Amino acid sequence: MELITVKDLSLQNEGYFAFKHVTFSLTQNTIVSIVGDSGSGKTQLLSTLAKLKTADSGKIDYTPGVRIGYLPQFDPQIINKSVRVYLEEIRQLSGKLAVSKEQLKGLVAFMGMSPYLDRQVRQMSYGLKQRVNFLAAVSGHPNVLLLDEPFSFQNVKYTSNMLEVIKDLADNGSGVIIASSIQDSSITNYFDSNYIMKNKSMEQVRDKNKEIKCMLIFTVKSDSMALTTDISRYLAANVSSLVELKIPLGIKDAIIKEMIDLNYQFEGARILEG
Amino acid sequence: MKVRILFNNFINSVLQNFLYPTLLLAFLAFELTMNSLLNLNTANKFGFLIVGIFLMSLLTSMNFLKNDVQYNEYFMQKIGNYWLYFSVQVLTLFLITLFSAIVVFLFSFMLSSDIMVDIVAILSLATTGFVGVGIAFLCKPQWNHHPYAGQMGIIILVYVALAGSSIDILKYVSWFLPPVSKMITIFQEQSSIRALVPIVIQQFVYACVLIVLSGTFYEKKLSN
Repeated sequence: MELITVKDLSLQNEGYFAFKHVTFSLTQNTIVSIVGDSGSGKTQLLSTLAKLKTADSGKIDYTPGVRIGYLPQFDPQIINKSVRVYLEEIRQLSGKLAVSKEQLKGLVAFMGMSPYLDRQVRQMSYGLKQRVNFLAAVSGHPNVLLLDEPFSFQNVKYTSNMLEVIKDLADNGSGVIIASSIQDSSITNYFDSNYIMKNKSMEQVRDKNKEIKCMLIFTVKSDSMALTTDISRYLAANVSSLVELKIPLGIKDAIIKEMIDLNYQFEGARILEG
Repeated sequence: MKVRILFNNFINSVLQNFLYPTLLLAFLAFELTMNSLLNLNTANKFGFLIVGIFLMSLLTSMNFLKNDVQYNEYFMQKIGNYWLYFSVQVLTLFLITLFSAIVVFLFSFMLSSDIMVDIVAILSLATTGFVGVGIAFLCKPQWNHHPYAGQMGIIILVYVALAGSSIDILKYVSWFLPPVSKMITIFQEQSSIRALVPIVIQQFVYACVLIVLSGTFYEKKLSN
């Protein structure tokens, strides 16, 4: 059953398109991944789906009874409460359909938050806050879960645990949308459909086994060092002091850092499909 | 449950950067020393209190709305009810203003033996504060998409609120203006707190109209 149907949705911010002509649907028991560069419009799209922004054109149809859980990329709210009190309050806000108190306790332990239950949320690191916000988003037992960069500041263990919780929700009838700027190839198996945001539009990646690639462009400086063998295997072009690297999107940041260490000037990046 | 969570959050937003306690204590400090500094009579002193609480509640409300935009961007999504969110915002600011009115009046040493007079005086101060709250709500797009329109709106409304009754050209539309200066002139003319009752009602209704207009104009449609 379709939970959300989006038709030709566009949003402008101060004359610029945040995203345009987005069409897709979210059905029960599915996990949808949206990948795109920073500024491609993922956060704006998720905010609009979470009813925090009103689109300029197009339509979103919500199936009656839809309960949305939303994890923003960064929540600026200052919470002067302990993790225990905060999560319990959020759970109670969702009423009878929320997870039980015992289930929430289990989720807290699973996400490694038990030692921090009596700590104030505002005192926590970004990574821990992200986990608290993730728990807050799932504690209402939503049937639509919107996650914006949920794996940022998380190690492999907690990324994997988050994915287990997400998968469990999807198996129990929910639909999940995960937006991220990088996607590790180890987690692509969890997703039922993949979309890519580029040029402010969203396109479906038909072959999900196909890795999303990214083109990085650098200029050579007078003190640039030779490319290492690790990097040179991604070399797509090397002409007129311009180096182009075609890399998997997941390693974009690491490659940029390595190239800057080798004294290359970073000029830009663009996402390539397939 | 939702009301309690909202109320706690909004009280924190009001107190977050200490603007409200600072304004209140500065106002009290000035109030305590102004007798010897300015040698004011009761009519002038009450006028000063009216202007002071109007500006204090306006600034407190503007500060609250700015904090709300800055920190509670995703909070309303968790509550999922615009009108509940808006109503508790208004209720919180009304309670804060009422508290300020009581404290300011107590420290003015104008307490009378007639409790009705005291109540009318406190309500006069409180409803003046409510008008400040209403103006802040009406001009709240200054924290969103229309910064200049919102700021100009504040300047114009504050001007007509404080000078409205003394400008001849505005007397034909006096019912349309915030009745703050009207309260001061009526008190100075009649020197009776009881004479302020109709203006208290007028101010309360005026503040409610501003707030309902703000709530309706800037309603966040929780659907697309």
